[in-house]
Amino acid sequence: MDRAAEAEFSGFMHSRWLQLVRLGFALTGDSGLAEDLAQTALARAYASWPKIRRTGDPDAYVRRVLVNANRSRFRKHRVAEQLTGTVPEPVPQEATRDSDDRVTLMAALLSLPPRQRSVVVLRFWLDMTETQVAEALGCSVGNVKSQASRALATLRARMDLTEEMS
Amino acid sequence: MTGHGEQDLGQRVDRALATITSGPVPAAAIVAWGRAIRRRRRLAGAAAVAVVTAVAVALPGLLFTAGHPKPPAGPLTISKLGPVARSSVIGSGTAGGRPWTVRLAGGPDPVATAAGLPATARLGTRPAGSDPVTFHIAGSGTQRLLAGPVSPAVAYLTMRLAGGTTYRLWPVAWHGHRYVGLVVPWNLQVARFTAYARHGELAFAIPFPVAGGFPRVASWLRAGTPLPPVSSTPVAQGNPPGEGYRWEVDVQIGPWGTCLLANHGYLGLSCRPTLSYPPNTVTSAMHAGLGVHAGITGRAVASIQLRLRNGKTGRLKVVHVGGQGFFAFSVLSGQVASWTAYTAAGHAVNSGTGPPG
Repeated sequence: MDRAAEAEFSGFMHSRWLQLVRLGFALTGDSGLAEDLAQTALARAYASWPKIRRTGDPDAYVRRVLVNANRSRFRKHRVAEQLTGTVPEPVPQEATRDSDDRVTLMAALLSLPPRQRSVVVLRFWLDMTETQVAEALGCSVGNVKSQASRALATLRARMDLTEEMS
Repeated sequence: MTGHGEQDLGQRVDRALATITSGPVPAAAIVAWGRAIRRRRRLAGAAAVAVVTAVAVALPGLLFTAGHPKPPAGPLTISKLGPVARSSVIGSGTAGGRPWTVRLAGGPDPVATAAGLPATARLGTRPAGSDPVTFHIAGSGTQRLLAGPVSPAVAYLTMRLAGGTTYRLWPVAWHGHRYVGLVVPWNLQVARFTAYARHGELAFAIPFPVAGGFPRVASWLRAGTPLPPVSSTPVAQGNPPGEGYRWEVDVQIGPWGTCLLANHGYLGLSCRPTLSYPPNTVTSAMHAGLGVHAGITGRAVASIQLRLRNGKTGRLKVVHVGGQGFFAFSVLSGQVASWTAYTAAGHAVNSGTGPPG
């Protein structure tokens, strides 16, 4: 890889790192795993950087790699999900309603089954279309719709989302 | 649900995730790993061409030797390196027949890296407390990277597998501190680590066996210490009405220390040394999925009352095993307003806001 491409990748890596860690955390609920997934996605992007530059959408590429790497955690070993990370939960006595909302939402999100959580994160946080989510998760659009519907019903039941989401 | 609702959920997730922070970008490790992936791809391409050529040339020879397969590659070998790291290498060997090399990078508080694996967290320069070594583990695929700082008192370590095979780990000095580093198969069943000084055994650790993962090292025992007895005790369980899942928390105490295990479809594990806590202590030990919390108390605490934000209260029974108390409950963390710990006689001895501990 030439020097210009190296510099370009370095800029991309530094600007996307935190966003990828957050995506990894939203999918796994574990900050260590989240960093592992972000590293995996960026390392694979580096390995294919010249090709990714040509095709023109590195963000979509690293997101897809990260989501697939998370899926393959389950596929390869068929292990139960291990949620050992701590949800950021400094709940001081004078906690504001806003921080309560963040903690409650994150806990509710992490309580969703992995596939439903992935759909919520990709569809509503990353604002991907149902078709894009289906491609990223390797399932049908119908499946994305039903998973989203179930996930939102669960979130509604676990949080006071009725006012804002119905 | 309206489009406005969807947008609002996205914004709320965005705000929630904004609290997630990270250390600096492990740029060197990412680039090194990316280069390794590229090298492997090139080698794989070259090997495919070579195989086609070789098969065309040597088919008679292959047929002749087909009845004499090569012995399988050993699962793990660890090379003995010199006492001082060269080119930042602190370990090398093979795992599953593939070579591995562990390097340190990142200045005086380094991370360990190995091709194809994520870097460890920062290792520090000394092990925790009086431990002979503190292992940091990285990796989520078929292999794990294991590395950590080693006490100056340690001459070498051994790692004994469940089948009896024993490996020797030699610390390597790097920037004035000593480290060990190795790459192992993810399911390697390590039965015992032992640390030796020049004159003999210093300490040993019996790791807690983890289903589907590398055993957890939480506690080191001084040489000659009798093995503590093993016990497994249910702490609490629940089946929230209408939620369609069941959770349970057990505590397993033994030579590995004290491990709290939550198994409810998700799995949470927290291991720590077995300690004698001050009598009124209440400390949080684990926050697993589905709002399951678990913690440890001193011997005086018999129950803990929770007050939720909706005004409801609940009392948790503390289960005592060998001088430690344990509790567990499942409530979404933001819902617990405060807690109070009581003795068996009903005296309040500790309290706080949020989840206990």
